[in-house]
Order: sequence, then structure tokens, then C-alpha cells
Amino acid sequence: MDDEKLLAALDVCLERIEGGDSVEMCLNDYPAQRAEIEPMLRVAASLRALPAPPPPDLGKIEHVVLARAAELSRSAALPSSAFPSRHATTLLALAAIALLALLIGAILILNAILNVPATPAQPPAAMPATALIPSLSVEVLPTATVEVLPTVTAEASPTTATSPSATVEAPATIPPTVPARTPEPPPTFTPQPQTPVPSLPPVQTVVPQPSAPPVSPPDDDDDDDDDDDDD
Amino acid sequence: MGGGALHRYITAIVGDAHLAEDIVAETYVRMLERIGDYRVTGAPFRAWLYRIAHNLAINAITRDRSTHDDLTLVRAEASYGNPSEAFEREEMHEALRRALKMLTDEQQQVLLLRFVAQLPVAEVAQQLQRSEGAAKQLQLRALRTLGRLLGEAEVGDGR
Repeated sequence: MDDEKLLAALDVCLERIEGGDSVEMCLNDYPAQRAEIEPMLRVAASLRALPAPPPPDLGKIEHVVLARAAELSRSAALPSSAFPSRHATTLLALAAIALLALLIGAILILNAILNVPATPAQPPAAMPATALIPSLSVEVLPTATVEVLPTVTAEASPTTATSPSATVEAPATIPPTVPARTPEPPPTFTPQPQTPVPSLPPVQTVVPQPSAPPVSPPDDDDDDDDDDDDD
Repeated sequence: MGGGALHRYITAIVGDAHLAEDIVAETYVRMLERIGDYRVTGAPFRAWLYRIAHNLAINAITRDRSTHDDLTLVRAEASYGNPSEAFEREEMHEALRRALKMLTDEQQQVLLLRFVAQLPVAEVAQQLQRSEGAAKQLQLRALRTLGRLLGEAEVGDGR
């Protein structure tokens, strides 16, 4: 604590003396610290009073410095390993960064390209065909058996392949609707974008048989079954 | 760049104005040679220059102690008024320089930078790579020790 007060008093007194105040005037303001501060202020004053040396021979100094500067510029003009290598390192670093940026960009683009076609093929597989087909049929195939499709989806009838066939045609319009549904990766579905009936996971059910009698709308029972199935 | 102040600072260390002149020139040459190493750290450029000068001055003292004599100082100060007064003054200053050399390197630096080169505390702190508070503490201890040494020297001289 005493040292802090002493430090503060010394600080103020030194500033005042530098500003032109006398040592005595400062000491009068700090009677409690006088005994300790006085020797220090006198020493500081003695240091300030050290005689200034005669002015330096600036011409001589300038000559020495310019001569050395000339030497330095001569050696800098020669091919040197230090200077160019520093720039080479910077250029290499910049090139590496640019290459990395290109690589990352390429990966991102590639990712985007690969992801787009896969999306339409995937979702239907994980979903019950019944869930999909009705909508498909409704949206895609007005002529397609709106009536048929539900039966088609009924697992019982592979014969209802007509709907699949219809749906086969549907695919043209399926993709737009398919993405509407939440795409889910088909664990059992073989990812084959070319598959004509992406909505039907089991291939067998998808087999198109145009000859199969599509007439089923009156079969409400089937629909009920479907509903049950949906449950 | 304050060549006069730098010269005065170096003279206070080496005690020889002509040697100090050579050291000033060498300081600027080193500055040119090492300008590529200079890093902007917030401290003024002058602090870096004084650091170079200080190291060269210390090296000069260490290397050339034998040629370090009072005659140079007397020559330097012969023009100051009455010869006997000049001699007394010179004795006083020489006592001060001797006492300074008994301080630690940092204590010497803080006193020379503050009171010979007359740099502000903030700049001295940057030069010494300390906080301002730490620099003030160092200054207080250095002044206290120097005062004690000078007092002991006076007692030793029978004054």
C-alpha cells in the first residue's frame, strides 16, 4: 500500500518537474513521502543534467549508412535464394488454395448432379404402393384406370398389371408427384432409375399385363381391403 | 528519427561521444539490413531502433573496456566554463555513470530512456516489453537503488 502511494507521488512529481515545476515545490505537496521521494527526484534531475555530447557528425554517419545501403542493393540485385523463395512460397500457397477451392466446387457440383436423378426413383419404394398409386392414378392417368390402380395396388392381384402398365406410362408424370412425397430411401428397392414402375417395390407386382381385366371399380370390397391394408 | 537523442542515449551508455557516433551509424545500418525482420507490434518504430542501439552500445562496452577512459569524457566536456568547475562536474557525472553501471540492465535502460533520451513512460514500457505499471515500478526501484549507490559513493568519498 505504501509503495502504491509512493509510486503515485513519484509519478506526479516527475511529470510536474518535466513540466517545469521545481523539486522543492513537489516535495512540499507530499510531506508524508518526502523522505523517500527526495533522493529519487534528485537522481532523476542529475540524469537529465548529464551533459549532452557534442552533436554527432551527421555527414560521417550518412556516408557510412549510404555505403552500406549501396552494398545491400548490389547484393540484392544478384540472384538470391532468400528473396525469390519467399515469393515462391507465397505463390505456391495461393495456388494450393485455388486448387482446393476448385476441388471443393467440383465435389459440390458432382454431388448436386448425382443427387438429382436418384431422387425420383427412390421414394416410392419405401411407401406402400397403395398410398402412391391412387394419387398417381388420379393425377397422371385420367384414362388410366383411376379405378384400376387401387386394385392394382392390391397385393392380391398381380394381374392388375394393367395399372402398372398404366403407371408405366405414368412415369412420365410420376416424377413430378413422386418428389412431392417425402423421399425415402428404399431399403429393398433396387435403385434402377429405368424401372418403369418405380412405385412398386416388388417387381412381380409391377409386371405389366395389359390383358388383365382392369375392371375393378365396382369392387368396393377391394377398396375396403385396400383401406384395411393401408391400416 | 531523433538522431541527436539517440546519440545522447548511446553516449550516456558508452561514455564516449565519438564511439557513440560510430554506434549511431551502425544502428542505422543494422536498421537497413534488418528492416525485413521488423514486425508491426503496436510499439513505435523508434523503440526498435533504440533496442538495436542499446545492444550495440553494450557490445561496445563489453568489447572495448580498456579504451574506455575518462580522458574522452574530459575532452567532451572541456568547453563547459571554468576548468575546475568542469572537472568537479565531470567527477559528479562520472560517479553517476559508475553507479548506473551497477544497476541491472533493465534498471539502466529504464533510467536512460526516461531521463536521458527523455521518452515518455508509455514508450519506455513498449521498449522494455512491459506494461506501463511494471515500467513505473521498475523506474521507482532503479531510482531508489541509484540514489542509495550515489549516497554510499559520497560517504565513501568522505563528503
